[in-house]
Amino acid sequence: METYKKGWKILIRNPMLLGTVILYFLGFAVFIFKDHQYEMLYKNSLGTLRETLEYAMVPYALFMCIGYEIAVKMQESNLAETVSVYKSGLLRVYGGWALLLVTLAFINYALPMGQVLLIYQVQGSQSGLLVRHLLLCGLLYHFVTPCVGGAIGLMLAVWLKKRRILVYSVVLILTLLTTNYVAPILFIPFNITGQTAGTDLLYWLKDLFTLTPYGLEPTALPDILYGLPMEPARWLLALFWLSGAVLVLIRNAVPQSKRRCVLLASCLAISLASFVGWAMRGSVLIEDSRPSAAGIYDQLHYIDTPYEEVKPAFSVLSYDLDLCLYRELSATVRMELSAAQDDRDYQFTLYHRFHIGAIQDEQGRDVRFTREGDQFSITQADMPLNRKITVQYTGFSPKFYSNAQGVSLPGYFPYYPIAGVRSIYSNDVLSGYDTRPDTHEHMFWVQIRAPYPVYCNLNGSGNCYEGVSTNLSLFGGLMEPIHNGPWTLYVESQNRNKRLDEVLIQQQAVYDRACQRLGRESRLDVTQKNVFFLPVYFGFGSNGEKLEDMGDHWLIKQEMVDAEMLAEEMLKRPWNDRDGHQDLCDALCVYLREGSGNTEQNVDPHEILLDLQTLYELNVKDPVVNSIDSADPTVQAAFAFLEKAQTSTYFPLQKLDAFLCSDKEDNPLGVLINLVKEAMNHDA
Amino acid sequence: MMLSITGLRKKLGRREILKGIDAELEAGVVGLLGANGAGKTTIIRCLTGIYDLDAGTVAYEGEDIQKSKTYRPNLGYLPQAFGMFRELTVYEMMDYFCALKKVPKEKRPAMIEDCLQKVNLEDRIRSRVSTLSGGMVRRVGIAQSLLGDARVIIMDEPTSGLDPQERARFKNMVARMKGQDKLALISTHIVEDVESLCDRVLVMHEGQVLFNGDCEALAARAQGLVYQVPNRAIPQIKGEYYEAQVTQAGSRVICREPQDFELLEPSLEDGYMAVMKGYA
Repeated sequence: METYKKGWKILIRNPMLLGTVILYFLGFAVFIFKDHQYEMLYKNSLGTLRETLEYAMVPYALFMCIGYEIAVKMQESNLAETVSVYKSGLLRVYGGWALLLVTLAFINYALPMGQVLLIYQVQGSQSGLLVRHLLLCGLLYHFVTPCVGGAIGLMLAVWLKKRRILVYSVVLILTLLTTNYVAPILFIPFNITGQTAGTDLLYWLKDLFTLTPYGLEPTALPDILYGLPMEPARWLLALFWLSGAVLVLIRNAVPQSKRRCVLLASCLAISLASFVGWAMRGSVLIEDSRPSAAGIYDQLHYIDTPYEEVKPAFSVLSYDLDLCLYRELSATVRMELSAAQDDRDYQFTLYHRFHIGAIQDEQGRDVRFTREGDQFSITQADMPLNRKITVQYTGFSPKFYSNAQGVSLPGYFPYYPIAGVRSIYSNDVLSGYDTRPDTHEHMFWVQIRAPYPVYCNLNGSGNCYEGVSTNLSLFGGLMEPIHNGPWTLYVESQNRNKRLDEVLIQQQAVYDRACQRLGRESRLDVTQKNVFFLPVYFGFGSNGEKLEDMGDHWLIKQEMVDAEMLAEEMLKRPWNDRDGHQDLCDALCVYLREGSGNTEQNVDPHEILLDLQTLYELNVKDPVVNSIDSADPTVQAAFAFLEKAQTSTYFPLQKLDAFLCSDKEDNPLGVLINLVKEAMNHDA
Repeated sequence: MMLSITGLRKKLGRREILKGIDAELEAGVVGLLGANGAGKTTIIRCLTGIYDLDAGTVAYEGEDIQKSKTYRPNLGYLPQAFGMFRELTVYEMMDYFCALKKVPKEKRPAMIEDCLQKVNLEDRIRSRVSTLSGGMVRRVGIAQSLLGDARVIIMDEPTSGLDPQERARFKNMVARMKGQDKLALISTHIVEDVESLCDRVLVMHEGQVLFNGDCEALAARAQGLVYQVPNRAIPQIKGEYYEAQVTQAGSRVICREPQDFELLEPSLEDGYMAVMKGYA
């Protein structure tokens, strides 16, 4: 403790060090609290936490510098030799420095967490899971990471001594390696060879140094719902660096003795074990620009792997899934199949990164199969007579993670074998994941071994589920169920207190009303099925879908908690997303949302027609510049007129709705003009 | 016997610095004399435990210093390059050393003041280290080596940077240590310091001990080898010789063979040079 107290005196009396520390904490406080009113308004503790972590590499680098400057005083003061004579002299001095850095790191932790916890309190979520998540995430990146930086600084002082230029070069390199600025260098192998292996390897090496969650570009923000701080690999990485730094310090500070050997051996063992644990991290969510990142991997993989869909010659009668979620997904899936038609092979789709270890029959005998990409098949001859097989596989998807801290496996993603050959991802005009759920029903029995509750669309509890469904969705992590009678919503922990059930009921009402105005049957009902509110950054595909009807459950993106916007998404589902149509879809949605629906209002169709024709001519000349604004008054007036023109036998809005659902390539403005003319003639 | 050195060998890199040192050091003041690169600092670092021994042992009161629990608490050390944290005061720095030496808190103020008095720095006790001159820093270094009532005090070039007045004070301080049950090992290349401070002297050269005995015996080694030679007669000297001192009147020369010139009474320095040159 005495070396610790003296360390504080040295720090406080050194103008450069003290000034740096004070400036940093002042700046950090200003950064944290500058948007305090905004944070209090939006009451999003996870978002607040994410903002405080945006520049986590700054304290990491700063603590490296402080650790170095403090420890190098031993060399600059020629004290090291004097102190090393005393029993554990150097160790006690370094220990004092380390404790000082830990104290500073604690201040670095307390500052942002004060605001985050205040926002949590104001937010009113009352979720123990969320609090634990917030505290641990902050602990890892606001406390442990600066401690690692400080330890590296101490190590640099011991190792490189007074060679400041070299030391600060190392600090700069280590800091840059936590950012995305080095991406151009990492992409050199890919740019030269066109193959991703070299770049992925360089990113893997970069990951060894990435002790912070973000790069300097805010687009690199990962999915906080996923859990982030709970991923064991991140803690193991910090432990690897800490134990490595301690090893160097012990080697320097402790004289040769049995005790030193034991300490060094222990540090080395911890360091190696941490490294191995980190290296074998399995399923992790990475959202930077590397080829194997969540948002990129499948896009690249499926560029040159088109294939034709093949309807299955058989169906899967039942699934008995035994799933294990720790490092990655390990699955044992027992399936009972119907007989295949026409002597065709039994073809299945299973995402290619799930590696099949074995396929066996009921007696445990191996069944021969061939695996190619996302497909595997078993011939008629090799299929057991009772058509019951067990498939064992392990692996993970870069996007749909499955590990010890969270799982995100939507039912449309073939993480278990699906009958037939179907696409997983397409790179055509509407590129993205194929979100069509299976249409056949199967009997499911599911048991999931995971260190957290996993929620499913089937009935059950305690990670055991069963039931009949067309597909199986599994979600878990920072997620909690809200039961509303027979209806259950699975929401992000921090949204527990938001009345999302009321939002959905309102959404349904808006949708029903809009369908009525369009003359369309209201077929979708979000209040009759369980709903999974998915992570903020979860993207169904890249088509911008916000919700999916999975048959017996809904998947809705968390950000879509506005009833009218949700209703609009339901409404737009049958409409194409093509240019031109998209503008008119949006405009119609705005009208349905904001339009009064008062058909008694008088509108002059001749004026509307003139305005529409002018708009049409402009649009023909330059569709890009003259595209329809969603609140275009001419178009809105046209909708109002068409709605007024609706009678029991004539539905102009319904015709427009049908046109938008079709594949026709007519100019939508032209269609609108014709509908207005028809309505005028009809009135006449 | 306070310190026993047996068969001490030490390599640094590929070069063998200490080539089998044997010495018995009793309480008193012992000088470690040798030219630059003789191995003085290396042997000191072996005795203080900074270096591990490649071979041999160093024992404190019969117990290996690596295993002894009493050696380090009784050891005081002043290295050749000594410094302190510039931000602390002299008192705080001495307190820091006391903490490292595990001196009880209640004893520290008196002990610190006493040690600083011995080096005439008690009036600078509250001064920041950054305000001290080089010589003052050195004196604080000497003071800290005395902390904890050390019984074995090893100093590497302690008078370096001291002015004549402080050198005299240092010598007086060391003189007071004689008769106490303490061993002071003073490494220096200044023969004058050894002559005025030390009871015994170890002469080192190229990693070996050439002489281990008292100062009179070292001086006596040059008996019959030191001549006063007129400058013009220098070429007439038979065999190898070393000009110890040249004046206008003539040169003090140490010769390997007997000469026909005026014999002089040898000094300690003469004995040192005779041993170093291998004339004795």
